[in-house]
Amino acid sequence: MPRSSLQSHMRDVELARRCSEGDREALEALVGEHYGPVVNFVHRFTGMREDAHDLAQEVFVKALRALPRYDGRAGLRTWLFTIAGNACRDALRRRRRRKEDVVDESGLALLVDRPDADLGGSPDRTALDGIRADALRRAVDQLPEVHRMAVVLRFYHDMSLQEIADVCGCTIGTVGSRLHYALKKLRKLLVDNPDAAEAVGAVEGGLSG
Amino acid sequence: MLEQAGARPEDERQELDRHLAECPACREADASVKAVAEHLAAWPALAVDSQRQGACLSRLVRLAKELRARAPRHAAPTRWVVRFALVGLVVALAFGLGPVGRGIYGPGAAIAWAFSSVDRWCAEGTVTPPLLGGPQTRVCNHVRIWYQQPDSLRILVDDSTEGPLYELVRRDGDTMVRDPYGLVGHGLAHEAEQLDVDELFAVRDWLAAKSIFRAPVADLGLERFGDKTVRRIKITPTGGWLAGGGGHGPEPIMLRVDAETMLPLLLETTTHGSTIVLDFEYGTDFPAES
Repeated sequence: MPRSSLQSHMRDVELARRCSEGDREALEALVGEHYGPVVNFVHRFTGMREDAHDLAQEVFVKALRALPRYDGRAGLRTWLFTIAGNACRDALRRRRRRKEDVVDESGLALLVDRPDADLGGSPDRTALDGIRADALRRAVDQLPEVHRMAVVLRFYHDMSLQEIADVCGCTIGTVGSRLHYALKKLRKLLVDNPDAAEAVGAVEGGLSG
Repeated sequence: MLEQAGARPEDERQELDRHLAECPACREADASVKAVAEHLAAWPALAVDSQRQGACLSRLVRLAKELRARAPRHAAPTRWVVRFALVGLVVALAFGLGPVGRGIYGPGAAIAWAFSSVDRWCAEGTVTPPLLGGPQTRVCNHVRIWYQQPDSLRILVDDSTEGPLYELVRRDGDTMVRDPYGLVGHGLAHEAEQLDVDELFAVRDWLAAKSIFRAPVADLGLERFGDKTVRRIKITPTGGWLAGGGGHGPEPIMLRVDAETMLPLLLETTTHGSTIVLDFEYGTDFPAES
């Protein structure tokens, strides 16, 4: 293990130990360093915006409870993202169930299925750089969960293939394969035929608006 | 190709660039990834709301207090765990650190030379009767040791799904100790820090102080052990903690070594009223810490 890597490992283990002992300074460091990345991971992986903060908080609560079991074999960030990934999958399952309930009751499924549907007119919407960014979000949303997670971790969190494999609980080869198919599909939607993605957005926007 | 989006060492980057210059298929794939990556960059990050971040921190601080209040009281730490881990460390270093120093001959030297010829090994051990050393629900009777030339050592005491009771990792001259229950404290880490593997005679002196190779070593002859022919070796500590026996008197360290290679297969000793057994394996990969 390179020295810097060992130092980082030691730092993670020490931070985890102090956090599990309730050291406020350590908890501040943990939240300060990882809260933003976890919120953004949740946001991009689930498509939830407002709920992303609540979900991120749940991730940290789960992590604090599990910290005594943190053994330092994976980096603290990787370990947190593993918990976040599981929390997101649970949230998506809950959302799908809610969606089914809504379909049963009123047929307004898409309103629930598009958690960013309330973005209209918000500053965030402006920041999304109009239709292109909106199409991008929809394109990423169309990827299967496991592909989406790999893309989000790789491109928005700069994780190595090994780290992604640790978070996803699969091999590096599987991560490579997931990224390959995900990028192929994204290329199709965003580069080769961007109108298709925009069209999806327009149709969904029309239905929900 | 997929690693393109992440940071790469400069030499790998140059190698990749050279390959891309020569290979149209990979060039196309690389351009494709870059094109998608450019699109992906258009999705901005959510701004982190300091109020929400503060709320998260407050909740964690409250929860940490609750968890500590509910935590079960631990049994008083016993020095047994220190000694158990120390035995593991001594055995690991005694057999793992290369050429034998001056004044050591016979089977002991042959074993040490054999050990110095292997790149990596691990040992798994138990202590009977079990020695309580951690939380009341945990039994401290299991240790695993990994060693890799020239200076990588990892010791795990009572590893389980709840994590180890004690862990020591030494690599590239750095030592990391994880002692979540404060069982060992800084004593053992200090022992490891004192080692300087560039100074093998210093190491030998350190080992000599632990009474392994300066102790009388007797060859008890050959016997069958499973499907192997082994040589039984008896080492009798003459000083130090191992010889003390905690009032039980000195007990020999019994080694079964492969008759051909002289590599130890099994170590048994009784000290301070408990029997320690270590099984050795060779060529095992050193575990990645992260």
